[in-house]
Amino acid sequence: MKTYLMLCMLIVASLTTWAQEKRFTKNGQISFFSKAPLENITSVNDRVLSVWNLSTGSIEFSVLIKGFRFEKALMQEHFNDDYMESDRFPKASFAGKLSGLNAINISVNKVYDVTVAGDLTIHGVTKKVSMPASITVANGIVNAKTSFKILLADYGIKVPGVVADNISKEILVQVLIPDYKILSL
Amino acid sequence: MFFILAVVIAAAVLYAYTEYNRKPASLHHKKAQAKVSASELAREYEADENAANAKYLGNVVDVSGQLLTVERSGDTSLTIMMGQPDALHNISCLADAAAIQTFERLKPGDSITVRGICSGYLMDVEFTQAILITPKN
Repeated sequence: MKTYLMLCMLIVASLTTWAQEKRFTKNGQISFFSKAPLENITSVNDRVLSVWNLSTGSIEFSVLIKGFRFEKALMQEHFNDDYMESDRFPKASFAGKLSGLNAINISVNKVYDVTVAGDLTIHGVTKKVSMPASITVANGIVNAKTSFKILLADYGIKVPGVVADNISKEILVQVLIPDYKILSL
Repeated sequence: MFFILAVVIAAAVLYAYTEYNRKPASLHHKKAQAKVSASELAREYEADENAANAKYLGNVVDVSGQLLTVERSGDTSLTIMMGQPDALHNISCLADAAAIQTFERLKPGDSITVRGICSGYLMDVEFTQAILITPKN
């Protein structure tokens, strides 16, 4: 009986230490950076939704285009009205798989190098993408980050010639999830 | 004649410079294009996101309801949640930087009206540049 109880306790302990559940966040951050001859432009959105199923590896992100904040009002208006057409395409999203990891030990501080691949949809156009990412466990908190570049033309985003020197054709995108919490339904 | 031309050009340059560097305006100076309760707004988006976006997306909206949480993130970011405590979807408002201190004085359970720009719907209906309309400080 004692052995049986010990075995049950060990199984429960291992399940709580090796996290295999779903994790999510509503406070992820996506920022992008455009470096051009006339000016550099930075914008950030820190209301990014993400759900990660550790068992299957499926991972999804969703972000509202109108949630990106700019220092200057004119940039924000052009971004929404002219480039991203956010009234027509209010969201950008990613759906794919995270490979190289299907369980994390939240009691051990560690950095896991992984690969994320899937469908990235921006401005109504979907492209297959793949990028390295890192998952960090630190003091029981799971965070994730990655960065990659996109070409505006790949997603049908047109930049008028008159502002060609203000906006880069290639944009650096950085994704940061500060705390992937357990999704309890 | 030359003097008038110089003044016109200087005015045009000044206007272009001011316009280029214009910061997003505070919603204190803008009228709400719609007024709705938090629970009704969440219900409209749950029922039909496209129809709700046609009505609210990108617009200045006054939302009234119960304050659920106030969450600070760093020095420059504060988000409040409004709605029903047991609801699956609520209203999330990212505070205008100048309004952060007014939101920090609130307590969960307070009845409030917030004005913000609707940016759409994820798990919650999202607003940016949010300012507090009531209670007045």
